[in-house]
Amino acid sequence: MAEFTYGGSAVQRPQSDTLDEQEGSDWPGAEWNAFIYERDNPSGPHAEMWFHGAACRTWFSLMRDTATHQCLDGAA
Amino acid sequence: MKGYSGLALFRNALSGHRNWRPAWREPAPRSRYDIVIVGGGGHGLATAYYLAKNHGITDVAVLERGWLGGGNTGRNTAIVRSSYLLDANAGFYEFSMKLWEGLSEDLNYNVMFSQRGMVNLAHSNADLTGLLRRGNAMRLNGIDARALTVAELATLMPGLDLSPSARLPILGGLMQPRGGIARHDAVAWGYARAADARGVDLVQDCEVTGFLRSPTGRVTGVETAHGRIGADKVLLAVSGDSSRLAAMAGLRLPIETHTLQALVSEPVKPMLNVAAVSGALHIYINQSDKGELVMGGDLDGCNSYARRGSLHVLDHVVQSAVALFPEISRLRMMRSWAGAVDMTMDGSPIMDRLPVDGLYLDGGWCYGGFKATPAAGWAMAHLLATDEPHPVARHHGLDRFSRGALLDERGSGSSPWMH
Repeated sequence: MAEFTYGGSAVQRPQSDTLDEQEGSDWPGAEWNAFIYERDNPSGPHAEMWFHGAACRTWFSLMRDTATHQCLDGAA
Repeated sequence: MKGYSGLALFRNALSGHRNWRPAWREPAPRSRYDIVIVGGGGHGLATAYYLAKNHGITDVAVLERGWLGGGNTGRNTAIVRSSYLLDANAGFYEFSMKLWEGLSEDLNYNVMFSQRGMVNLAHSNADLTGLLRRGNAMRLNGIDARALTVAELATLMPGLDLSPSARLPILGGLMQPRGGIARHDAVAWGYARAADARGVDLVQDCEVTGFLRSPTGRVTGVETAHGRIGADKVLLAVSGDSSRLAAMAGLRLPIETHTLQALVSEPVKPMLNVAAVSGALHIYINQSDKGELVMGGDLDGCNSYARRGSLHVLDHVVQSAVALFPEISRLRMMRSWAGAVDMTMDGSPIMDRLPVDGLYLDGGWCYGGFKATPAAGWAMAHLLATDEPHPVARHHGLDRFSRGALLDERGSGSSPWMH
């Protein structure tokens, strides 16, 4: 078992919990659709979530370079 | 194109095999094509071949940033199967299987397709129930599937640890007898040679760095290492890099890029004559014609374009292999490698037009790209030629995410690294 578990991209949850008509969107669910399914998926610095499951059991965000696997300075 | 045959082999043997012609030309790219395909792997080459063969469209270029078949086409574990649960995937992959069955003859190139059988192992009652359900679904879709008892497994796979005291005892299995493996490099080379013979330009060492756009936003060509190349339509067949290229056109896709590793052992005498998978142990394994045991497992687990992975993942694969076949415990690993794969939000591929005119996507292949090669090429050629999805790929559109019509074989939701 690995000490740290990956939790995916650090994406921002939409402000509203309802499917309101959004300005600039084609349809009410566009913002939630983008949050759940669409990703930047960069080759390079990537803001992501990790879980320290084998010790302090904390979720934290991290900037990591997806081309080199290097962890970068500062939280995402 | 000079045909390959027993007679040609004999004739060339007489001259010491010094007079074979190159299998394809190496043209400099022209300034414009009807269709430009980005990515010279199996999918891009197959699409070019079927555009020429099925639709008579030969003004086509395939642009490859490295060498033909040097990406995921040459890095997979070469397994071909159509053992899928969902109707949409079963129909698509079974169409592919039927193309595989005639591929060597069609291409006049031996892709060494060996239908030695594909076996899934069950290690618990839940496992077995799931496999039997999948087997029944396959049979309803007209695909061959057979449940295997432990006694049948003992005959079929003599080295398998079937003892009740195994760490994860084996309770049975499911076999697709028509499944098997193929020589993955030969698939790229066979399609390349056949497409070239029909007039397609294959351009290697030609990375695409951007898109040409008309004032209305339509994609009208690509910027490359060899200059600008115009095109009416551009197809992305660059699994692993789909998001990166789509971003150049301002698009975000339901895809993440992840590392998938594989390894081979040193070669040994024949000991395993089927391709085997254990979902519970997270391993797939087969023996190559050279005698090496070819193995792969799960993704490394976090987004990566690095094309190298962590040792603990290989360690897990090897532990699983030894758990299944204790007699291989002293074999040495010969080499390991990694590929960058497109993982979609539902674990199934995307074959569709993109929301930018003139741009098309064959991507999101997850673990399943190699076995899909013939059908993906066939369906993408149809889409490019007619602007209508091919019937076998009509459920694999990009809008299935916003419509809620996901194709999630495993039911693990929008966490691509879990598929």
